[in-house]
Amino acid sequence: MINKGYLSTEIVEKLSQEFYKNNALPSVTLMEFFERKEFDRMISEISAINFKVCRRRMEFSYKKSVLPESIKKVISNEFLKAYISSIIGKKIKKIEGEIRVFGWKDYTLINDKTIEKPSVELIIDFSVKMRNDCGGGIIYVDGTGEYSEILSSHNSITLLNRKKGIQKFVKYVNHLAGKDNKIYFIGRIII
Amino acid sequence: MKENQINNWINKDYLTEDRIIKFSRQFKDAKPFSHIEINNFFRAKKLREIEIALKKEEFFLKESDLFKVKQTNDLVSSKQNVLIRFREFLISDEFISYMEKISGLTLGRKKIDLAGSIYEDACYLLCHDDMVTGRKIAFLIYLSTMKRNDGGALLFFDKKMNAKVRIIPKKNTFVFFEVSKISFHEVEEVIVKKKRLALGGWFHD
Repeated sequence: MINKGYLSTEIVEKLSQEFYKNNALPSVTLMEFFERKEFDRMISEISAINFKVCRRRMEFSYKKSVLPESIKKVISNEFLKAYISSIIGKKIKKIEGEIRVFGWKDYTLINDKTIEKPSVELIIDFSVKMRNDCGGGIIYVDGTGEYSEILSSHNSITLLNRKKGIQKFVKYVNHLAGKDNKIYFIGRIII
Repeated sequence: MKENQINNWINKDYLTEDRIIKFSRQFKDAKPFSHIEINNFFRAKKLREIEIALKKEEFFLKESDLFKVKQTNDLVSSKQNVLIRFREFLISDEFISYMEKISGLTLGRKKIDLAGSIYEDACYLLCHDDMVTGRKIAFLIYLSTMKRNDGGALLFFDKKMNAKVRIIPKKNTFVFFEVSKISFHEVEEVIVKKKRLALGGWFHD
């Protein structure tokens, strides 16, 4: 399931160190994470989904769906959970989340109605390559003007410990994206 | 004649009592919330001077979850005489009284926010209400003209978040609206390689 290049004990230790390097926003992104066959199976199911439009103009605009079977299997896979546990140093009970698609004119905003409680997050990026200036990136802000954009791309996963006071938003996708979309699994790791 | 007299700055057709009463009715009756759009508002020579001076100011790219736009600092810090005088005019008792007559609102004479903005390709301002303590009237003075399909239009939404008004920027148009918990508005993304230049800000209580 996981790219074999990520499986050695030495690499896992390095990833764990990387995860804890930034105390304010512990995070690590692993590119080309899933084996190609596994990832293509997920992509194939995602492309067959009828997404539902979700829009509250003052809060968000995107399309979402319940999880397809292949992704349900992946995020409940014991090996994957043990692997992530060894990076974040915490035992995982379960992972929950949804697929969200961000095309032209989609976004999420941070406001009083969208405040999220702290959590450890898992982002899986299913997008085809989209230029950075098209928007659609996931950005974490601490309320003082400091921000971090996760550098995810096609077949990457990001693990992130979003502490108190840190919120995230998905940057407005502009017309330069054309018909391209950002497709994310946005999940919460329950520990 | 004093430099800051209203008839030095504004189209004289808009200074008659009849016209002010008409504007006042338009402002009050406007849906989805009180607003007005007045074309050819400033005297052409003055507007040209303002535009030239504004283009000499430094614009800074600002981005957040809500917007991507290039903005000047508040023009209270401008060193250019044209912009200093223009700001003084906007906050003069004569002009504030004029705004009060149209809006029916009581406005303060001590504070005004005023900055230049440029929305270029892929810039936008998403829907919000502008509600910040003290703000009474939000205003925009367009210094460029956009076409219907260029983007950059100002949209007003009703309480159900349906767009009810679309104002396409036209040079020398003065737009203002009452800031309230229902003044939902946005600036559409500019989708062409064109610059939407404007001055904007707020009158306070």
